[in-house]
Amino acid sequence: MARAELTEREWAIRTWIYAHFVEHAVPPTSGQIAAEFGMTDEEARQALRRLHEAHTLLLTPGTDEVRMANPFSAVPTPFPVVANGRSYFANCAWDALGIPAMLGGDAVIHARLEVVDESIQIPVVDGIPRPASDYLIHFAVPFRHWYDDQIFT
Amino acid sequence: MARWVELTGNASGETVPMMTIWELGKAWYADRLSPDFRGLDPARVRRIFDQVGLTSDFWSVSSD
Repeated sequence: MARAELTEREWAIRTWIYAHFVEHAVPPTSGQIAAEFGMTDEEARQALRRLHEAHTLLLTPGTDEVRMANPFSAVPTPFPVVANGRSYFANCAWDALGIPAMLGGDAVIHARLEVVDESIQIPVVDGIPRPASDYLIHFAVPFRHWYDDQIFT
Repeated sequence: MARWVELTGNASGETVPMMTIWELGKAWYADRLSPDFRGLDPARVRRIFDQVGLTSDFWSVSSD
């Protein structure tokens, strides 16, 4: 949970990345960030790396591309969520619930249960998953180690 | 749960009812889109876990 101190501008970039994700279902590139904030591409990349170090988002290893801005994933996953008139990808089962919880409104959560080769759909109507099912969600990694390897977590 | 362990060989970790995670998601992501969001500090994480009943050592927020 250790967190680098971020500037107000870096926090503003974080907010804009999330807004971009909500609107477009994908994160912005460093070039788009640079254009939005009147900075160079390298400055935008530096800001992305600082946001990564502060655990406010996760970059794809070895790149300056946003991989995760939880609950959103920039890459396809077994957890697509249709909400807000768009189709998003969640990072995990929890984040599949987190997307409609964060956005509000109705949604349909899809989950591919690869172990048993089944797909399920969970509608969220009026702010509640329906039916309030007896599904269980398994967490393999204790919370204190979540940030050791977020992609695995 | 027994079938999960049988299929995955993964007996470690914790299994949590979906509705608990729904409540966790609401609290965890409540202000994530806000310009005022400044991260989740350990004390707030602890409060959120306690609020939804995740109180075992698995959900400890302190480092080893």
